[in-house]
Amino acid sequence: MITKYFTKVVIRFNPLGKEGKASRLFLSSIPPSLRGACVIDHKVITDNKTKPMLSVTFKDKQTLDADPSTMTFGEISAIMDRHSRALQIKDSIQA
Amino acid sequence: MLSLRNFITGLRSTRSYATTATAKAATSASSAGVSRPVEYLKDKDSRKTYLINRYKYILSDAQIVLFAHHNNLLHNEVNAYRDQIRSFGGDLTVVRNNLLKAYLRAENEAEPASVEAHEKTKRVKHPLSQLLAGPTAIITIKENNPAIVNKIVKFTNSTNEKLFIVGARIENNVFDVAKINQFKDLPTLEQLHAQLAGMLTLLSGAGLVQVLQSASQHLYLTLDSHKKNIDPSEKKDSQE
Repeated sequence: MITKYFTKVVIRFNPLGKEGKASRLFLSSIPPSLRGACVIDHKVITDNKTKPMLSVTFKDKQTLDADPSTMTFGEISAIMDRHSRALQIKDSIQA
Repeated sequence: MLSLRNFITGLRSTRSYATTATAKAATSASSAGVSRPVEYLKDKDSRKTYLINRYKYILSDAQIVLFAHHNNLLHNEVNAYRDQIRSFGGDLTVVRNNLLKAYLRAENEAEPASVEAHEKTKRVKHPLSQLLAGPTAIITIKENNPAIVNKIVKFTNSTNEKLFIVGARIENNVFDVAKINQFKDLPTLEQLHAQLAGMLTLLSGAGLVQVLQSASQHLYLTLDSHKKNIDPSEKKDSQE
């Protein structure tokens, strides 16, 4: 997954639920080199009131959402990569 | 003997010693009547067998096991966290998910890494296996003391997304984060025992003891009178 263009990640998940695996794999794919650049707002939920969610804000301020309880990590990363690649192309044209 | 042997096979660094010791253990086992050596699913010197035996060693004497998610920790961070957690009375171990799952499935078998245990338990789904997805570490605490959990939870709250707790096993019950938060504020078991004992002696303790005693006392008196009725020597005594 291309994480270079992330500026904020908001993630809510229940580790005992279906969304646990995709959410945890997503969190673990953000490298430590991004720690200053990307804010990670994570929360472990246990009740049914809060819904699991995942939202990523990119450098161009666009926000993409994904539902970790219905998607696998591969599907989520494909959605994020689609926008990241667009930003990558824009970057390479400007450079 | 079995646990000793597991532990010895677990110590791979002293392998030359381990082989002689296991040979000794095997001979003593055969003299005791156990003839068949353990048939491991993987090679007996393999890392998988070693790790399953090691998890057995770690988890069998841990009262509390906290499951934590760790996120791309740097070398110095891991060391710092480990030292910090050790100072509270816990032990941080990064685990391999599938091997820990295999161990948890076969937890009640004598040899969790053996072919026999695998055949018996391969279809079992352990309730904790949900927590074993993604990078996982376990924090084992030997004594059942909520104060230690409290310190560790406080510490992991300060490490943000790098290390956070996702669940726990406390005396064979699966706890989620909300339950852990309730548990950590409890007094220790010894304190609760002392409180209960104190309450019983102070508040209507004597009355409660009498109520608990009355059933057995009644039984004793009935049997005693019955004994007096059927015993001839006692009858004579009463006739005289």
